[in-house]
Amino acid sequence: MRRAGSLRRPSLVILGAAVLAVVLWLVPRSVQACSLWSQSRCDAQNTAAIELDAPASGPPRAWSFDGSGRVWGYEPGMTVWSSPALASVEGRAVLAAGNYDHTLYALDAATGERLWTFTTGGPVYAAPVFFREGDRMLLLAASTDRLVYAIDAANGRQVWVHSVEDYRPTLGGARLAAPCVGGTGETDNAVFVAYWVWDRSLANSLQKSGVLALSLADGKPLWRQELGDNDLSAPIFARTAGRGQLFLGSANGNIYALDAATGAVQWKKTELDAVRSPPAFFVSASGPLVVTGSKYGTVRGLDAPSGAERWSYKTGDRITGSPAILVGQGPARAFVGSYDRFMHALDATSGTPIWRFAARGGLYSSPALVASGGESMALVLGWDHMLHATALGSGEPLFSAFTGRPLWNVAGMDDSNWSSPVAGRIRDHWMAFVGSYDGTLRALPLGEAERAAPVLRSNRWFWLSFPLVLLPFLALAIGLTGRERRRRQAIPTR
Amino acid sequence: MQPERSPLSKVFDVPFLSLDGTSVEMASIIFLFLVVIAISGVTRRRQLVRRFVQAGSFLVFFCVVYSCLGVFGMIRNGLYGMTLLGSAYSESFYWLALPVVIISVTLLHGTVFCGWICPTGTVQDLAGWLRKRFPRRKERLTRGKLIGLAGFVAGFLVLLIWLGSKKQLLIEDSSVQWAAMLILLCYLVLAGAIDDLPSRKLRLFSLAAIFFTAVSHLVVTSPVHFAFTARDDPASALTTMVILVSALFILRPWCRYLCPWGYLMGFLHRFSRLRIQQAPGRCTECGVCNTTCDVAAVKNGVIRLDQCQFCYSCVDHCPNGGLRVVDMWTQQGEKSVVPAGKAEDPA
Repeated sequence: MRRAGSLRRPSLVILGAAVLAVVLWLVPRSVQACSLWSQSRCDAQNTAAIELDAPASGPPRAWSFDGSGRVWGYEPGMTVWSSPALASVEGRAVLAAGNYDHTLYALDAATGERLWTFTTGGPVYAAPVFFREGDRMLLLAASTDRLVYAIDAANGRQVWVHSVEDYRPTLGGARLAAPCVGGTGETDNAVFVAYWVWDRSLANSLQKSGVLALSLADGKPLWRQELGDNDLSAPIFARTAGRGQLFLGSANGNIYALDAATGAVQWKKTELDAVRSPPAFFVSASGPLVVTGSKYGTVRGLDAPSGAERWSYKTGDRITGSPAILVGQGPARAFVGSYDRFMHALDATSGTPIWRFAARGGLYSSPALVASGGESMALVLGWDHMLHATALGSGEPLFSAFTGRPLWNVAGMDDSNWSSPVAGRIRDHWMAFVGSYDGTLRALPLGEAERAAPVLRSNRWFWLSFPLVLLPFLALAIGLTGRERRRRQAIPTR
Repeated sequence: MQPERSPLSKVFDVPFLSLDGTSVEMASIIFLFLVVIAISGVTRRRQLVRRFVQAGSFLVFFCVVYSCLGVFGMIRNGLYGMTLLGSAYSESFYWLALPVVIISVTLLHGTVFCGWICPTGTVQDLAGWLRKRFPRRKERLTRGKLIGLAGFVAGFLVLLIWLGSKKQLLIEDSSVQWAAMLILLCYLVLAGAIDDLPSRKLRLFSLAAIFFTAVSHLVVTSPVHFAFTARDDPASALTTMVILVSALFILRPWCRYLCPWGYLMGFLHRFSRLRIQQAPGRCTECGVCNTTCDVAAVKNGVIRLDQCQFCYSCVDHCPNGGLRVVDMWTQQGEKSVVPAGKAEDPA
């Protein structure tokens, strides 16, 4: 018996291990949601999903908030809503987003109740971020008025403000990217802001861009690094080998790695076309990697310390959103939406394609990676005006929800980095938040997103243009014929 | 996993021949040049070669390349490309290349794009070929057939309204309004309510409308646009279908009444190097050219430059060699092909 038992035990162990391995394989890979929204897409992996401790918020429900009170003429680069940011503030789930009406809105993420608003001097296209400073939660936002604001997230009062460029009458516009918070040293926290300002006067002929580091406590500048003369993406902060690094892209195709302590450029990689959104960062088995997407449609994995290319993958069309990295069990995966209509899932370490999900329009947004009820999914927005949810493991479509038509019908609308979706878990319910280009900020509980979404209907301008085209054409045709017949009658027959 | 849907039957899902690894398509431009060189060298069995070129262009532009040859798109793309000059060169090249090549070809070689390459024209020629197989006995339709046709037009408009109420149609889908316009115009011409020739001035109106939408940053997709893009475009497909059906009743109706690009080509034709002209003293006013021209651009040997599509049909079918291609720069004419025994002494 004893001998038989000793024989049976190893086989049981092997069997148990095999069952465990199969179970682990079958269990969907879970996504570790970030804990504090300190970067444009929550963390350096751009997961854009957060679990919020919000006992003071009401039960989460579908809601919408209209922010299109006044419709401006479209200009390349503008958006209606910025990508939102989420945080738990004094027990409430708070959503903050900038709007083209120059205002920052703070809403209860569970119910859509307006908590406070903060007016800036220009449209707010950059996503705000949250960070805890002492005992209060700060909301950090950059506006096109050249100012970086630190606002008390509990009541909307300004804590400090800093201008990236001193005012002078000839100063033209400014484009500030989403700030991010990181450490200049081991512990000191700083706000990093990428900016692009220009001057209208010929005498000054100023077009300059760079990254500015500000002290989180009082907004005092720590360092400034100029990086040419064009639009920059938001930076992401990551710590490698004890030192903070910033990674960002630019419209002239360069990807920069800066030392977060001094602002010194550690390396620069030139892409074939604009890098419009922040890269993603993660630590692979072979070392830290930066994953970028460019308007040429190329996704690249770059060695974070040196900038050397580890892999590249070409999608069929331009990429304007950021890649998002799923780091959990198993190999890391990169998800990136492209204008070729596909969301591509790649092995983030090697760039090997795993699956791709087809939408009905080009995908312009960065994905948000969420875990809902044990099932992991990626949320992404496309030019079919839909929010698409796909299973992270297989690329299976889960649902699509209509999120509204753009306020403009403009050919070059792909020049704008439209708001990307974010997700938050509030009182055990996952919600997706979408600042649509129809002017409405929508909250969709993931379980009922399709039902909660508005119904797809034809554009009223489509119907209005029907008589505008048909009636003049018909009148003209009849008129031309009548004139010709009268002319022919007037000619005497020989 | 959702099955991958390729845009119609594109053979390649990345640019076939790209500019320096970009999405800028070079194959379409090279193909256009090759076709024009080939066309300029053809002197024998020209109509057969034209059909082959049309079929080849159709296949290349529908199955291989992504560059848009849509008649609205080229106007809009050209204007958009001009705004990018000086800031984004590769993108500017992408938008401007095809319109500039086609305009240059028109100035050098006449409107061969319309007659030999344009996919919208090829679609109409396909229907026209069917129509010629079953010629009508009378030019005017009988009352019963007109009522039937009116029912068809009304049915189409009702279908359009139903489609718009069920499906999201945007301003980009306004090409269906051009489709509705075309089907109404064809009906009115067949019913005798409006005349063919005066109605052709509508092309200018169409050009103005597309120009206005383009400078207003409004996108109206072209009839055959659905074949050039990776996205679904049911409105464009529906409009193409309407053009196909309309061409069963009137030859090349889109080119005659509504094509804005055709108007532009016709305008440029007045300044082009090559044009078709009457050979002095050879025309006997037999009327063959009147019947062979699909767009009725020639009457008794007199060519209407703004309507001519340079298909050479009149040149090839004239029994007396009464029409010839003239180089306006050197004033030298191509030798007319005169069937044996039919040439008349001009003296």
